[in-house]
Amino acid sequence: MKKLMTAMLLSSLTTLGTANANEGIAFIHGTGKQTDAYNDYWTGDFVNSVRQGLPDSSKYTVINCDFDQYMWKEEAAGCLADQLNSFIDNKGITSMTLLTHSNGGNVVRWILSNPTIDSRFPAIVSKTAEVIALAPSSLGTPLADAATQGNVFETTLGWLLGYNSDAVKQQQVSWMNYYNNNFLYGTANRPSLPNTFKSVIGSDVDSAIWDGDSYCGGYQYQVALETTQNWLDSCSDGFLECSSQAGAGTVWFTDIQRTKGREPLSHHQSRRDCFNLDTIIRNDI
Amino acid sequence: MKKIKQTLISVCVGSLLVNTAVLAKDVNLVSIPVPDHKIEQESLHFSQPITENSLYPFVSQRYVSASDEYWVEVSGKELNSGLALNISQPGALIRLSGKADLESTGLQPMSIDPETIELRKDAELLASPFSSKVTKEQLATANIFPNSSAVKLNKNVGKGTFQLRVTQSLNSEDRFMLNVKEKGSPYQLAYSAPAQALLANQEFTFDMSMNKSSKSLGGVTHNTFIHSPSGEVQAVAYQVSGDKYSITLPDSLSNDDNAPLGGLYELHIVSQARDANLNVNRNGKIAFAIAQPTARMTREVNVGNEQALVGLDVASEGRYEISAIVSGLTKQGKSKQVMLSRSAHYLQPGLQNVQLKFDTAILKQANVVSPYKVSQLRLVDQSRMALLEQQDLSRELPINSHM
Repeated sequence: MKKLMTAMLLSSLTTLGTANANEGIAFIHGTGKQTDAYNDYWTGDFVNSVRQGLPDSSKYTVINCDFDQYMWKEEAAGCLADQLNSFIDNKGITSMTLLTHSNGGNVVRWILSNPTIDSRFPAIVSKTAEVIALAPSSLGTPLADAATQGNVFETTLGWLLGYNSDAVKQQQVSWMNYYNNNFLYGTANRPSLPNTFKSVIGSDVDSAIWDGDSYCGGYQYQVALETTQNWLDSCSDGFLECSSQAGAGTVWFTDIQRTKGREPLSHHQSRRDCFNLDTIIRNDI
Repeated sequence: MKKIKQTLISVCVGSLLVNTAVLAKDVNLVSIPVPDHKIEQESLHFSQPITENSLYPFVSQRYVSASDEYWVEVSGKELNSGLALNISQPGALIRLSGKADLESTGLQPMSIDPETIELRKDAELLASPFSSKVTKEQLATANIFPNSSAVKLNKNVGKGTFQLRVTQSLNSEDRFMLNVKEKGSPYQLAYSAPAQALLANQEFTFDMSMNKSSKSLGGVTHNTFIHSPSGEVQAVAYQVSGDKYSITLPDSLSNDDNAPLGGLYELHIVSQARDANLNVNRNGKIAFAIAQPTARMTREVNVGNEQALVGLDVASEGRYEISAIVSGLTKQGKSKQVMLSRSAHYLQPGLQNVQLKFDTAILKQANVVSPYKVSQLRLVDQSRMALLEQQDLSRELPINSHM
C-alpha cells in the first residue's frame, strides 16, 4: 500500500500544537551496543530527572540498540525504528522528543533524512516534535580517524584494532562528509531536516584534580578526554570539536551559556546530570 | 559476476540537457544481483516544504582537510631495540597502540606502560622528556583508544630526530601503531577532493601539498595507496597534471564484491619532506564511494498537478528513489520553488515511468498553482546506497519536457 507521508506529517504537526498531545521522550544512546542504557549509558538520576518535564512522566523510553554498526544497518536504525514505533504504539504517543547523545544523533538523522527508504520511518518523522541532540557527532571527529589508523593490514576478519567498529569508521571526518553530502540532511548547504534538530554543545574539558567539577560523571573519564583533546581544536568536549557538534540543524546552546556555574560539559558529562543539564532539558520538553 | 548491459542509452537532446554530477551520459549500465540485506518493497513518498533559506542545490561539495600527524606500524622488536622518531613540533604527543593479529597468530594486543618509554637525542638519554604520561587504563575510559598509552613531550625537548625505546619486554612479533600528533605544527599536509561520489571506472581526482605555514614545500615525496571497503590494500600510483592529482582504481579494487553496504574506499597519502634540517612526516586519507551504474534517468519527465512521471532505465533490480524540487506559480505569475518531493519504489529491470508524488497540501499552503515544474532531479539506488545521478543546475523542467 502506498503512503502519502506528508499528509501524515502535516496532520501530526497540527496535533503537536494542541493541548491533547500525548507527549513522550526517548533517550537514544551513542556509539556502542547497549542492553541496559538506562543504567550503563545515562544513569537513572539523569533519565528520571529529565522525564519529569513531561505532562505524564511515565511516557518515556530508553533505547537499547547496537550502535557499533553503521547507522543504516538493521541493528542500528532498524532497531531504533522498531523501538520507537513500539513506544508510539504502546503509549499512544502523538508527539515525542528524541533526546540523543553523540552518534545517536546520526542514527536519528539517518531516519529523518531517509523517510522513503524504510516503511518504519514515516511514523517516526511524523511523531517527532523535536530532536535535542546532546553533543552530536554530526561532522565526525578526528579521533575516529586516529582510532582507525593502521588498518593498513586489515582484512575483513583479520587485524583488529580494539574498538575499530563500523560506527567508529563511519564517524571519521571524511566519511561523515560523504554521508552528510549524499545521504543525510541538515548540514551546511544541504536540505533542512523535516524536524527540528537542536544541539547542545560541549566546549571544554575540566580535569584539574583540585576542581570538584572535574569529578561530575567520574574523574577518570576526564583525564582521558583531556588527552584526546590533542587531536581536537581549542573548542571541544574531549571527543568532538564544537564545529562537529554544531554541524547539523541549529545550536540550542553552548554549555557555558546555560550550565550551573558556567561549567563546560565534557563528552561524558553531556549524558549525565551535571551542572543542571537535566533541569535545562526538563524545562524545555 | 557482474553482467554488463550492452545497450548504450541514447540521451537527449535539445536545450534542456541536464548536467549530472555523477552519471556520465555514455556510461553502460550494469546488471548486478540484488544485495542480500533486507530491502523495503513498499513504495513510499515524502514531501517537505522548503523556503529560500532552506533551498540548496544538490551539488558535489569539495572535501578539504589537513594533517599535522603521522603514523607507522612498528614491531615489538623495533621498540625494544630503539627506533628513529622524527619530531617537527615541540610538545608533540606520541601514542602507541597495540594491535591484535587474532586470525593468523592468535596474539592478544599488548599495551605499553608509558613509564617504560625512553627518549634519546644524539645517543644521550633524556632525563625528563615527557610532560605527561597516560596509561592504557586511563585512555580506555575514553572508549576510543584501546590497548593504548601516550606520552607528551616536554616543549624544552625541542624538535629533530630522536630515538624512542621501550624497556618493557615485548614479543618481537607484537605489532604497534606509533602515532605522532604535532598539534600546532606549521607543517601541514593539505589535501582535498572535488567529489567523493564516483562511478565505477571513473578516476578519482584530488589535490595534495606539503605546506609550511601555508607555503608549499618542494622536494616532497608522496606515496598513495587505496584501502577498499572490504579491507583490501593496494598501492596505486597517482598521475599528475599541473597541480592536480588523480588515480584510477584497478578493476580488482573497484569491483569490491565483498564491500559492506555503505562502506567507503580510502585514499591514503604518506608524505615526507625535509626542511630546515628537519625530517617531516605526514599521513592523510580521503574517503570516497564508487557506485555501480545500475539505473539512469531517461531524460523524460512529465509533470502534472499531483505528480511527475520520471523516465528510468533500470538495469539492476532494486529500490530506487527519485527526488526533485517542485515549483509553482505565485499569484504574480512568478515561478517559486516550494517543495522537495521524494518517491522510492522497488523496481525490476526495464524502461519505465516512475511516479514522483507531490503533496498538494504543501503546494496549497505555499500559495502556488500549476503549471508545476521540477528541478534538481536526483536518482539514488537505495538498495546499494549509491548516488547515481543528480543535476548540478537548478533548471526547471515544465510539463512533458525532455531533459
